[in-house]
Amino acid sequence: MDRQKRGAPSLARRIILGLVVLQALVELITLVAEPIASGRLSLRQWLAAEQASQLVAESLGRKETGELAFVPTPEMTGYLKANPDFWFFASDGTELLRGGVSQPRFERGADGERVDPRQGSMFNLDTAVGQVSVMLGGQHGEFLDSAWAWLRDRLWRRLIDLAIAAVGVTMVIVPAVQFLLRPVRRAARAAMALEPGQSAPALPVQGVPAEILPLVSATNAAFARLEREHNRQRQFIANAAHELRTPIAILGIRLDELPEGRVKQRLRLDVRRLTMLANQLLDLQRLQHGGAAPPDRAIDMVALVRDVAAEMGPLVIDGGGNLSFCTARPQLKVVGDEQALRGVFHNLIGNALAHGGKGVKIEVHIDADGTIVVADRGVGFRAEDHERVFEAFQRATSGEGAAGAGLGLYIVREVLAARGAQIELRDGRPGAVFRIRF
Amino acid sequence: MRILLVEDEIELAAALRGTLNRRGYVVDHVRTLEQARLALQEPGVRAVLLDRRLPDGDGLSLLPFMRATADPPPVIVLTALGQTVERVEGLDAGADDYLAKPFELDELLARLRAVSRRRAGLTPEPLTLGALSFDAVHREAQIDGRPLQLPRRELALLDLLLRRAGRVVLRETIEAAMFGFDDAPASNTLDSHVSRLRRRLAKRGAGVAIHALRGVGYMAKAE
Repeated sequence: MDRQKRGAPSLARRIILGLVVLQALVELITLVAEPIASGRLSLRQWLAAEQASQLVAESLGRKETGELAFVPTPEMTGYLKANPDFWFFASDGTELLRGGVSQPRFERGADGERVDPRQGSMFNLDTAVGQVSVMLGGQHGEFLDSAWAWLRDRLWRRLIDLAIAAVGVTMVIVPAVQFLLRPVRRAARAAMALEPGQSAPALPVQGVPAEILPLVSATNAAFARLEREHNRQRQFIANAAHELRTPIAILGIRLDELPEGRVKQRLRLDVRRLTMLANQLLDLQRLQHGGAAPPDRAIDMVALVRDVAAEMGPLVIDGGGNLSFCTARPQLKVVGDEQALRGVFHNLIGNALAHGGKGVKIEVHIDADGTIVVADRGVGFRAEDHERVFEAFQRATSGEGAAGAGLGLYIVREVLAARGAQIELRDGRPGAVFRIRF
Repeated sequence: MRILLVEDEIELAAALRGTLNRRGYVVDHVRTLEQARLALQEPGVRAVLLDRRLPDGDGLSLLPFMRATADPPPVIVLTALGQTVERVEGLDAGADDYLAKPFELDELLARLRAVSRRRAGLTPEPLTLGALSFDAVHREAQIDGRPLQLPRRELALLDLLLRRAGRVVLRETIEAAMFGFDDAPASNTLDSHVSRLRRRLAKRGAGVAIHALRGVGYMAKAE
C-alpha cells in the first residue's frame, strides 16, 4: 500500500504546482507588459530610463541635517560622464534635489517656470533613504546593458513574489485538500475493513466530493455484485454438503448388510470420513455465514479443553497412546461459540492422533499467559508445511501418511480468527506443537 | 418391537427398514405427518424415528399431538439439521433423543435400546465389564460370580468408572462422588485409591484396565 502511495501523484502537489505556474505566467506577462504599456517612450529609451532610475536610487543619501543628498556611486559618475544630456529631479516630499549634467527646458507659464512632464519619466523608487519620487530625462544607454539592469531588478522582485505566493498557496491548499478528501479516506478505511459476507453497503458515500463519487459508487456496486455471487456460491456449497448427508447415511446403513470382515471395516472408516467431510463443510458454511450460530458467550477454556480431552480420551487409549492435560490457570474466559471452540480442540487432538502414529503421547497445556498448547511427540510436519497445513484441502504429509479430510485445520484457524485468536504450528523436535493465543 | 419410521427419503427409509428388520424390529414406514398421525392411532408402536423436514411440515409438530395420546412412545429425531440450536429445539419440543444425519448405525441402535429401556422403567441390569459385574442398586461387585469386597470409596469409584466404561470420567466428577464437597482430598489421594483398586482388580483377574489420563481423569476398559 505504501509502495503504491509513493508512486502515485499527489493531488495537493499538482494543485499547488498548477497555481504556482499560473502565478509565474501572470508575473511574466506583467513583466513583459511593463515596457509595452509605457507607450510614449521607445523600448530603448524606456529601458535606458529604467537603468538610469536605478543608478539615481543607488546614489541618493542624506546629509547630517537629514536633507536629501546626491552621493554618486562610481557607476553613476561614469554614467554622467557618458551622458552629457542627463538630468534628474528627486524629491522625498519635503525638498527637491536637482542633479545631472544638463537641465531640462523650462517653460514659462502663467504660474511661473515649470518643466514639461513629457520631457522626462517619473519613477517612485524604494531607496535606502526611503520613498523617493524621481523625474529624469536625457538618458541614453546601451540597449543590452539597460535591458539587463532592468531584468535583474525586476526578476529578483518577481521571484521573491513568486516564492511568497508558493508558500501561501501551499499553506492553504494542503490542509484544504486534506479536509476535502476526508470522506474519501473514510471510504478507504471502510474498504479496508471490508470482509466477504458482511451485509451491505460497503463504502460510505456521504460527503464524498462529486468528482470522486462515481468511483466510490462504482466500487460499492462492484462489491454488491461480488457479494451476491459470493452468497450464491456459499449457498451452493452449503446445499451440496447438506444434500450429501442423506446418501452418506444410506451408504452407512446399507454397509450393514455386508458380512463382517476387513473390507466392511475399511468401508466403515471411509463412510466415517465422508461424514466428517460433509459435516466440516457445513461447519465451515455456518462459520462463514454466521446466521444460525448461537450467540457468543463467555466460556471457560480450561473446562472446555479438559472436557474435549476427556471426550477424545477413549480414542487415544484405543490407539495405545496417552494424553495429559495441565493448566497454570484455574480459569481462562473467552467469549465465543462453544460448539465451534470445542470443534477446534477436537480437530487438534484428532490431528495429533492421526499424525502422531501408534502410541502417540499428546500433551495439552494452558500456560499462565493464556496460551493453549496441543503438542504431540509424533513425527510432526515438515517445516515447509507449517503454514500450508492450515489451508483448505491441503493435506500436509507426515511420516505416517495423512488421515482426515483436509478441512480440519482450516476450520480451526477460521474459528479462531473469528474470535481474534491466532494459531501457529511449531516444530516439537520431535512432533507437532500447536500454540493458540486468544 | 415395533417402530414407526417417519421419513420422506424413500431410499434411506428402505435401507433403515431392512437393517432394523434384520435386528428383529418391525418397522412401519410413513412419509408424511398426516400418515404418521394415522399410524399413531394404532396401538403397539414402541418407538418413533422422526425426520424433521417432511413434505407437509416440520416433524417436530408431531410431538404435541403425541403427548396428547395415552402412553406416547419415545421419539428419536433423525435429521440433517444437526446444529446445536436445532438439537436443543428438538429436545425442548419433547423428543427423547436427537441424531444428526448421517449417523452411525450402531449409535442409532444403542439409542433405540436406551430410549426403550428408559421408557420401560426397568431396573438397570448389573454393569459388566470383563469378568467384573457390578450391581449398582445393591452396590455389590462380583468377579466371575464371586463377590469382591471393596472399601466404600473404591466402590464409589468403581461404580462411576463402570457406569461410563469406555469413556473418560473427569477427576472432579470422581472426587465429588468419592469425597463429597466437604472434605477436599489432597491432590494425590484419588490416584492412590485408583492404584489400590487397580491392584485388587488385577489380583483377582477381573479383566478390567483402568487407564489414567493425567490431569483429565480415568477410564475403565475391558482388557
